[in-house]
Amino acid sequence: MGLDRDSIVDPSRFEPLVDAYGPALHAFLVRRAPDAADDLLAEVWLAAFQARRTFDPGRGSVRGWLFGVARNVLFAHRRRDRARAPTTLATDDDGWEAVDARLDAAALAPAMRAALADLPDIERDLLLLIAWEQLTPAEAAQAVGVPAATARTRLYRARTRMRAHLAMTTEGSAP
Amino acid sequence: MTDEIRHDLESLPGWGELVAAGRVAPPGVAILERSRSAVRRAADTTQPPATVPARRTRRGALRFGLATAAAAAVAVAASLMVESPAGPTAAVAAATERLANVAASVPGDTVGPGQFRYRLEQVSQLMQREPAPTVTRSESWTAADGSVWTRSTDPGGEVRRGRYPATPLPAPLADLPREPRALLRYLEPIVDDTDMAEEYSTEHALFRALHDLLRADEAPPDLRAALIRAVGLLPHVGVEEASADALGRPGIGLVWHQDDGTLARQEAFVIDPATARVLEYRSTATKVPVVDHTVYPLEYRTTLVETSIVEELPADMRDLPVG
Repeated sequence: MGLDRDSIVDPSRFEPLVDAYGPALHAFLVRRAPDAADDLLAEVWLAAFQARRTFDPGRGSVRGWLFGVARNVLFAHRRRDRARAPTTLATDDDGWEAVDARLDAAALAPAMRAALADLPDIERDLLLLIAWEQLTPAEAAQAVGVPAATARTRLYRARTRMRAHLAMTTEGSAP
Repeated sequence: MTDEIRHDLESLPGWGELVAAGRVAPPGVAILERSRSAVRRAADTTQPPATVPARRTRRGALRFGLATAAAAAVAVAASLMVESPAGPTAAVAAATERLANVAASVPGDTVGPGQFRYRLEQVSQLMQREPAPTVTRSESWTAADGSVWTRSTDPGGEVRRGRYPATPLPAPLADLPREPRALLRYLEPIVDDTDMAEEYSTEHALFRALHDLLRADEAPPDLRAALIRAVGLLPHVGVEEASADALGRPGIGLVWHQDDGTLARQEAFVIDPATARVLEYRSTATKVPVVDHTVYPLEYRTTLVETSIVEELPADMRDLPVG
């Protein structure tokens, strides 16, 4: 979708963005917060509209920026959830549980699940934005809010860690 | 970056299964409609700044011949102005008069046919939650007709090239008034007719326009002097006598203050007291909302590293399409 800064700043031209990017943002939320995704989607769009003037085409694409907004909304949702949870039940929910449940339901190989679980949060986030949201690495960097060079380094590390983990697991399970 | 990393990731055993595990059903019509309604309601309650009537947009009328870095500079800061009756202070008037006298005495250089004004700038952006600024090397070549070729190199080494057509002023620079108040009167309807007027007060848009005209280095000495004096006539402008740019060069900062209650920002351009050239434009957040979903830019700087007139474009810039 060919958009420039004016498209995103002009209120009358903002609504078509919902049609263009709404399904992808909804999928992002379903994958990470399945029970709340429908409600969070409207929250994402409202936050994006209110923050539209902070979009800077010099820093990346509309798509990367919108996923950054969605990620912030998701984090805020988790913080609210934690605040509401009784102390005894409160967990340090970094979002992995929902993702892992999805991987489990999809019968993903245990070695891959374990390799993903062992990644630092930021590396896993970047990697899943590429695998699931089909973002480019530069867009994933924008969404996570790190410089592109940092994202590249972290993705190389993630790839190396996962390859090592998967190789070790394969060797360990060999007869 | 990118294709190489993606290919690396795709070669991981189980990558295809991981991708497949992420497949979800598309949202129902009602779910998307809720989002559209939320945006529509928010848009309905959005008002333009009280002092700026909505007008026809003619984009970039003043942003002639500037590299994309300047456009990015415009993009980083935006909020409603809190109008106050503050007028120019004696300190501002004294500083701008001093700089104007320098500007009038320094001979200008003009880009001739077939030549280009080369500018190398350092563009630095610091966002909330980032430990350090992202620094980009930004180069531009501006032809005599205002056409611009740009090449930026990000910290990871990724290079982006672009070529943009000229968007000239409605009158030649030579025809612009040299009397500062007449210059402001001349520029006012022009900035009100650009996209800047939809977001900023007329005075703020004039501050930016005066900066753009000074920064472009194409104005003759007497016009540069008038542009600087005109800045001194605007309300809300302050002066930093002992300012410095990102490279540590001393300068005099002409500062625009804006505050909408929850978000406050200073925009400034730092002028070399010896040449009256713009060394740096910077936008600094001085107050951001405590609880928000937005990641705010804390500081943005475009710093001139070097400039010269060159006879030709580099080989890798010659065959770029306009766009």
